Amino acid sequence: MNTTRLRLVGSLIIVTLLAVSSFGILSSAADPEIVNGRFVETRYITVEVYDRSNPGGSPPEDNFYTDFIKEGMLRDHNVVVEFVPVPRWTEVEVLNNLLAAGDAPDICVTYDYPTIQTYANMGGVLDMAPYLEKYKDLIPDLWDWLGEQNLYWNQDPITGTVWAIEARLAHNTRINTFVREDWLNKLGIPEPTTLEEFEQMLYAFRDNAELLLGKDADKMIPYSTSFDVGWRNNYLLTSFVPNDITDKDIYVYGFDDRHLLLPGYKEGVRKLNEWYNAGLIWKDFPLYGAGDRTEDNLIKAGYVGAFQHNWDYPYRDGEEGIHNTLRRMVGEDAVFIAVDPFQNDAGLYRKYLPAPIDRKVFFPSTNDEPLASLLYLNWITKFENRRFLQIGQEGVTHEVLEDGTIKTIAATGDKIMNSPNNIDYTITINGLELGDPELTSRSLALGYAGVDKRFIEKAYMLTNRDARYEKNVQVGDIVAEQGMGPALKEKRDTLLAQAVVAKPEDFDAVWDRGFQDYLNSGGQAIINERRAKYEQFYE
Amino acid sequence: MIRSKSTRIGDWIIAFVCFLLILICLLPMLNIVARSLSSSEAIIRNEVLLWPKGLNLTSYRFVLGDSTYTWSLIWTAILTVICTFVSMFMTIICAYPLTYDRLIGRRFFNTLIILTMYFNAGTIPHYLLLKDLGMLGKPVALIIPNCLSVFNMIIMRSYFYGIPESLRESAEIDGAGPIRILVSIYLPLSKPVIATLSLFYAVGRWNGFSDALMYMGNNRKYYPIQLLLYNIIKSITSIDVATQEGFTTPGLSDTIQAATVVFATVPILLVYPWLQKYFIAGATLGAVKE
Repeated sequence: MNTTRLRLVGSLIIVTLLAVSSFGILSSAADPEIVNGRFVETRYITVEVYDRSNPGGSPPEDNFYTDFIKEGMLRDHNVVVEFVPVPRWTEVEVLNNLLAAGDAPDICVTYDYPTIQTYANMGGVLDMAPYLEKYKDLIPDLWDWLGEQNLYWNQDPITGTVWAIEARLAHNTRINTFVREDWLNKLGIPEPTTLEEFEQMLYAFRDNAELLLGKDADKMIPYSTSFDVGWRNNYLLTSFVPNDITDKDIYVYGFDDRHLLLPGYKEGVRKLNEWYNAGLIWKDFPLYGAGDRTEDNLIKAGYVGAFQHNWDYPYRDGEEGIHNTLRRMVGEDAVFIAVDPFQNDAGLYRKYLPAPIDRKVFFPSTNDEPLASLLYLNWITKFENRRFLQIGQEGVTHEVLEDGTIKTIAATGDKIMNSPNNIDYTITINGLELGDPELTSRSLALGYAGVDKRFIEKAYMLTNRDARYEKNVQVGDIVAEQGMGPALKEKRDTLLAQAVVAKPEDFDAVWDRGFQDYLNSGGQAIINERRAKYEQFYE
Repeated sequence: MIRSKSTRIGDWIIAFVCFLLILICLLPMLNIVARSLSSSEAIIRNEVLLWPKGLNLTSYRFVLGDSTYTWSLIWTAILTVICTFVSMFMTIICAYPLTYDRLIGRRFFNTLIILTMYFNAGTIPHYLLLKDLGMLGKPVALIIPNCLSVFNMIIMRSYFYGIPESLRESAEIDGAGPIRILVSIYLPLSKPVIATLSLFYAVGRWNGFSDALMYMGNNRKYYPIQLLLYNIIKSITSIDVATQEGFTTPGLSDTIQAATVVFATVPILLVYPWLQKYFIAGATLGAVKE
């Protein structure tokens, strides 16, 4: 090939390039992509939705509520939305497949931040930071609702990247302590307000089994718990944590969400050990794994005096739940009521609660519609849309009482909600929120079929009394934590169960051995790295 | 036959141990059946062990009345039959040529096939492969990927080895080709191993659900019954999900759960008696090469 031809080809290429690029500039200048919030050309996005496969439920990708969203997005933004169901119970595995295959929906949602981090490290996740800033004016509802805190919760302190935004937890509730109100009345004991009173109450249950249970006296269980000791006794155990614990220590020792590593925790477990050896605790608790209903059945049959569990546990599940079954099987006045007796060294009913964050929403790098995706998030966050998704249609899924309170009705058929308050569609919020906190909590209390609202109101009030919320600590990725979750969780549960059932004289040896094993298996490395990172960025 | 006293005592001990083993297998099943037939009040009071209390059939009415379950059961049965036939076909046509000494590259093929027993690409590459083949969400994804088990193929091959070569030679002298020899001589002589391997394949397919979980996406029509069961069990055992989300899915009551388990187990149990006569011969097939 001679030089003339080379030049000719070269100049042709340049001319073509120039023409193409100027055309691009011209066309984008003459043709703005969005007018009055609507795209000029229809856009297409896919959105992940959890598939809970609930019996009698509707297909999560195609039902009354998805139609509501699809119609609204097309009307308001000219965006066509398609839902991609992901099985709830194996979401991480399935999401991994989808991400690896480049098939992941444009808007993904998960509780598992490490999965996002893994793919972000490989370049598989879109950095949301520039888009949040650039399109701020177009997504006011999202900014209002999540605020700087939740939007930038996961921001890397050095690079400034935001791989995922955090949904907001509308109600920061954790667990509660429940006792049988009718037993207290029968024995003439007031509701316990201190650990000592609670303990005396348990002894009174044990010693009055004949009176309380009659012929079933041998089945008496003053206090029940499960293999998940850390969760099911959390408020008792953390009441032993010194009140003056610093934010730094909460972070450094905060890897385990059951608070195993916090100072003072061991003394809490020693108390349980004492109770176990005094015959106050259900002796078979470590034998039954997750999902086993033996303990629930013991509670429902009326043999259990007290327990700690999720804040509204006895009141859930309508006729099949603990509250209604107990009343049916034992008697009208047989009810559990929430109490809050565990004070810390400063006399506060301290609870260590997570920050008001929930699911993590992210865009994989295959998402080429970041604006349409953000508009989607904005749309479902917009108050009237969110309200409709949460409470549905009046007369079908809820009724409005005279004072404006919303009372939910369980619907069937196409308008059934596959998840409470459609949490699976309102991916920027978890929990009912009606705009006015007073109205919300009144409505919340009416959301339990067959349960008087006084129980719910009390449980709701106590579950976060004197709470101390987790602070956001932005130190980037903690390498030592990667993949350690399941193994350490297993060790924790074993350690706690063994320590509770140990003989009192063996307690220290059992605890120290198990705790050391936990630290050696990765716990200490996590503590060290957390401390180093914290000191690097905050001191 | 004259038997010494110690042999008789030994027999009794063996019979006793076998009896205990049978109990270990049988009691949980009886418990499930009893629970499925009991009232929920009796279960809550922990009164149900091996005999139903407060006898009622509501849970079965519920399960049979839900078209999702009945269809899924029918579909799983169809799938199991198809898979068993496809798998047996593949196993036989893979094992048979490998018994021929004069097959060129026999050692190479053997090694290649056996390698797949030791090396596995993992979930994600499998997913990517099925995606590229366009199988995702289609029932064929439940049939093709696992249609040949190398382990079963080796059992088949060893059994074929055990058939005297002189039979084959005489057929060849009579003018039979390899296919004729397979159909007229090898297969009729291999009934025990065919029955055994069919059962292995059928039970594997009947109990399998992870492939459907990964590959069927939202094509719920093709979910096998075990995947439905898995979802039911998972939804109530996912304690971490419950603590994350702040609520639990109520799930099904104890009695309905038990009924669903019985519902999904009985059909495959019905297959066993028909194949049982081949079992004793089948289980040790191919263990010894003569």
